[in-house]
Amino acid sequence: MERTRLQDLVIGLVVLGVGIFGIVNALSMPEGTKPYTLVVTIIFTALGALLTGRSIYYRKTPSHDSNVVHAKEMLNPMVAFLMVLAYVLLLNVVGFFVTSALFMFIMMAWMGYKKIWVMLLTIALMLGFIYALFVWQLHVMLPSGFLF
Amino acid sequence: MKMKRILAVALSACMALTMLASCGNNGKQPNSGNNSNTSANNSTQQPGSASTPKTIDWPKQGISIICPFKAGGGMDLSTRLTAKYLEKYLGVTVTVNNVEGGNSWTGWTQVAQAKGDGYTLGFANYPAQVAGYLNPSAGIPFTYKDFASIANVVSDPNILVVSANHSDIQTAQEFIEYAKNNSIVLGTGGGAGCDDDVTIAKINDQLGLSIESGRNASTAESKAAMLGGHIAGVIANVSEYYGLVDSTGDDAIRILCIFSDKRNDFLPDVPTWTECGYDEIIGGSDRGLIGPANLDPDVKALLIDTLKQIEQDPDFQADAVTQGMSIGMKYGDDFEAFIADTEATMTEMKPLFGW
Amino acid sequence: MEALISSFVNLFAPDTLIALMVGVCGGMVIGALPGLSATMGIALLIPVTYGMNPAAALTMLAAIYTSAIYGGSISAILIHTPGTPSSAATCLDGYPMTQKGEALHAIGLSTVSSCIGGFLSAIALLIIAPLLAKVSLAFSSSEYFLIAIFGLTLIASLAGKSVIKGLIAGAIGLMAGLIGMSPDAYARFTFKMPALLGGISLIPAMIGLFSISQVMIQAEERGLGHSTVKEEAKIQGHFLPPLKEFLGLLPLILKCSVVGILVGILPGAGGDIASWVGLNMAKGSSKTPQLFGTGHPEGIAAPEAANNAVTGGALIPLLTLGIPGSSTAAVLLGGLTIHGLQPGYQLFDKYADVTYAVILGFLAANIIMGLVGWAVGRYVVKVSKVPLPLLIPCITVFSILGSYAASQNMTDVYVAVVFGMIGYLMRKYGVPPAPVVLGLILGPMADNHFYQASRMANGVPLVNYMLSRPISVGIMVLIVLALFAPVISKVIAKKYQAKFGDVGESAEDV
Repeated sequence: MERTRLQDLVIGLVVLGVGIFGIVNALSMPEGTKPYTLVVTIIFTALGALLTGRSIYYRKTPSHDSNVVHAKEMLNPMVAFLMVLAYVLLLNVVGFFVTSALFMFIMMAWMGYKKIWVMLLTIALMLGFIYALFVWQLHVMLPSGFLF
Repeated sequence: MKMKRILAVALSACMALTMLASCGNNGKQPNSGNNSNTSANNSTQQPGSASTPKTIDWPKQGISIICPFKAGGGMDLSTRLTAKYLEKYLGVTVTVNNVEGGNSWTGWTQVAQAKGDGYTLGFANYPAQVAGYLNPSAGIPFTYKDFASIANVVSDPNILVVSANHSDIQTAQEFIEYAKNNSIVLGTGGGAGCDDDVTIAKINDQLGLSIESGRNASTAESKAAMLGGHIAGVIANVSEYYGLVDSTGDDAIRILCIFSDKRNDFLPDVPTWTECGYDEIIGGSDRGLIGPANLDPDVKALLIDTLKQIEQDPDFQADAVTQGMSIGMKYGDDFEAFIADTEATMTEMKPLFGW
Repeated sequence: MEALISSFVNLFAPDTLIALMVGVCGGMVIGALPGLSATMGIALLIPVTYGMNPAAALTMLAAIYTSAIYGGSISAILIHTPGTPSSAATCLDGYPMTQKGEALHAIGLSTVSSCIGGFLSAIALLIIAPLLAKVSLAFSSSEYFLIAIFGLTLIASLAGKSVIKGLIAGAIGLMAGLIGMSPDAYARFTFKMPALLGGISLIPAMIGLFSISQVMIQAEERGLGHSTVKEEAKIQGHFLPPLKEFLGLLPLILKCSVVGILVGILPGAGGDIASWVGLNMAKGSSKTPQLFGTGHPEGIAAPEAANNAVTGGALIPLLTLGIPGSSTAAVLLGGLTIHGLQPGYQLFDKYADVTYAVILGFLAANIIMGLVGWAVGRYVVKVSKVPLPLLIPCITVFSILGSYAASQNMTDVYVAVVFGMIGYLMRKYGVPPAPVVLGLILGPMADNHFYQASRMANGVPLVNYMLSRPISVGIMVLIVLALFAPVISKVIAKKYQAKFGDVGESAEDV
């Protein structure tokens, strides 16, 4: 089966699955909440069914309406995502400023920048600005852990 | 290229610093002569010589009050007013943290789980907090007993309002007559279980009516619906309508009665529900200072004593008047008993909310 | 009239002028920072205004409002991150222009359009506020529900190449909007987690969809040593659009300003949908609809004019009735209260000099905003030339910070991260993330007003209730037209074809 149609099929099935889960849940909701919830979940399921159906039966024209996605080109973005995820999870553990400084430095280096003093200067300016604006002036509490 | 980048960053930093500097300067400017402003608004005085019941070495650092509502709203303003005067009397910085999310439970959870040293407190409103945890679908694992009820500050009574442009009704009795013969909707400032909703339930229960509660998402919505003639009237709070009493334009209203045990200073001409000839109904939104359940009792006593002094402070009273807040202090055990009572009433009403 | 003159004098008082400048500059910075929206900025600065006199305080807050909405377009254009929710629509044509090296041109268009939109809404506020307030009162939940439905028909126009996947994207937004407390106080799809009771917040979701997904897309360039932005090419173009282009865009800008004012005066409509409605209007009336999304000037002028026009519009019901026309205006209500000003007739009677000072200040802010934008535009665009490895981590930190700062809880940050992944996958796949935003805004709006309208109907079947209301009927007609206009125009084209021969239609797939 052509690549894009396979992708469509997977997406269609996921949407269909989530939609059906939604409908089943919606049916047990109280009368005030049920109508709207049912409408939305039914629409979602219907669209999923449509997409699944189209990817299976509509063999003649390959879907020109999406891009083919290759796993290889997603590798770097996924690494970036994991870095962001680690950053976010560590925010409350270590504290905003230290975690952000570490994250920024590591990501800058990973992205290929070489000049260390520019990196440090940028980090210092950024965090200084954030400190001045959020902590000092606006009194917004930033995530804190055992370091600051 | 990096020099230009640094220039761009420096430029934005300059803009920000200008803003900060000006903001700092503005604190020193004199107030213009607006009738309800007092010089206390600018107060940065040193703490007065407050006499405390038991001299404890507290507070030694800044206090944070968690307000689970967004800045600028009614709860936030009440919290900030309290924070301002606590700062004045305790001599340390008291900051307000607006922790929104989880239908205000993210913030209240943080209060319940805070250390009992008194440096993290919270502000809560009733019956909203009680309604929050009585709702079975929400899955809130707390009750009022998980909090230390320090003191109630604001008590904003419910009022019955109709639009003067869309309704000829002049008194509460006329309104009830109308309600007996027509099926009507009264707007509210919140969903099921909010103070306005509870008052409507009490009215229905007392007089055998079936007035439909609008369960509007916000006060603004119910106000718009009433002023536009789409609903018969609203149950709201004094702070929301007291300024419109003399209005003659599109926002002309009539406040028919107030659900309190006595008339309110902001609305001296509005009769109470009891004065209109019915059995007493007390309804309104109450907002007060809370802490974690394991709050140090000495700290709690000190806070209560401080708030008693704040209650007498004329600057505090003037600020409250400026912002339309009706002060109804209840301290310690009185406050807790009030909440327990609210919980009992609301538990009985659960079927009415669909719980 | 004397009030107007005395407040004009008031305007030139030193503290008001300083407040104005601080508001305009500060607002732009707040708006440009991803995650810090106008609403948040004003909310955080209200306590700071405690010690200021009311006229200066409110002028500053109003100036921040309009200037932040403008500032949001700056980051939308330069780094594909909407600085405020209302600038999301500007990303679609703004960022492609930056990629073509035309960032200065884009910022110039945005500045001019925002300026005009805001200025016209300030004029409306000054002159016809009472009339527009009456219009605003005629609308209620029945109408807002239908407006939300109408808004959902816009999703199809944003779908990009594949209509069905665009619809799924919109439906994802609708499904996400279900999470949390329903209007009937039932906790939907929260899986007993209190953190989800508030639902999926719009700003973190948007930050994820636009900004974090952008970070991931840029990560593909890692180690290649260059970016997709033409570094070598000079930043072309001038700031101010050439006269011919400006005159060509003017009708669109004026139309979108009117749309923005109307959306602003309707409290139930919320300000964020104005830019999408404006964009849709632009596509509908454009001679070159296929250019949208590639860096088309109309794609910037329309949403920017509309979203700034909302600001003045939202102030109208706020000042005349005490009913805020947008969520940002709702925070301004707090600002009024703190200074003892009760909105309603009193503002134009007892406190007229303060009120008119603020309105005039707001008017001035829109002009000053344009001038400041003109002055710094040249320098701000340099951000687009910052080396990617330096820029991307900074954007990430700001995005995460922005998601956190709005409500000070980590749930919003996790939402941003999750939607970042969703947004990335969608964009890789060729589905624009914009419909998700629309679904997330319009879903809860439809939900809430459907519930309210049912209660207001009070026994009468809802359809009958809506049909008994002339404005509702009018909106229903609009919806039908919006849905069937493409079909009708195709039918007409076929008849035309039959009569006059082949017109060279291209096939459309579902």
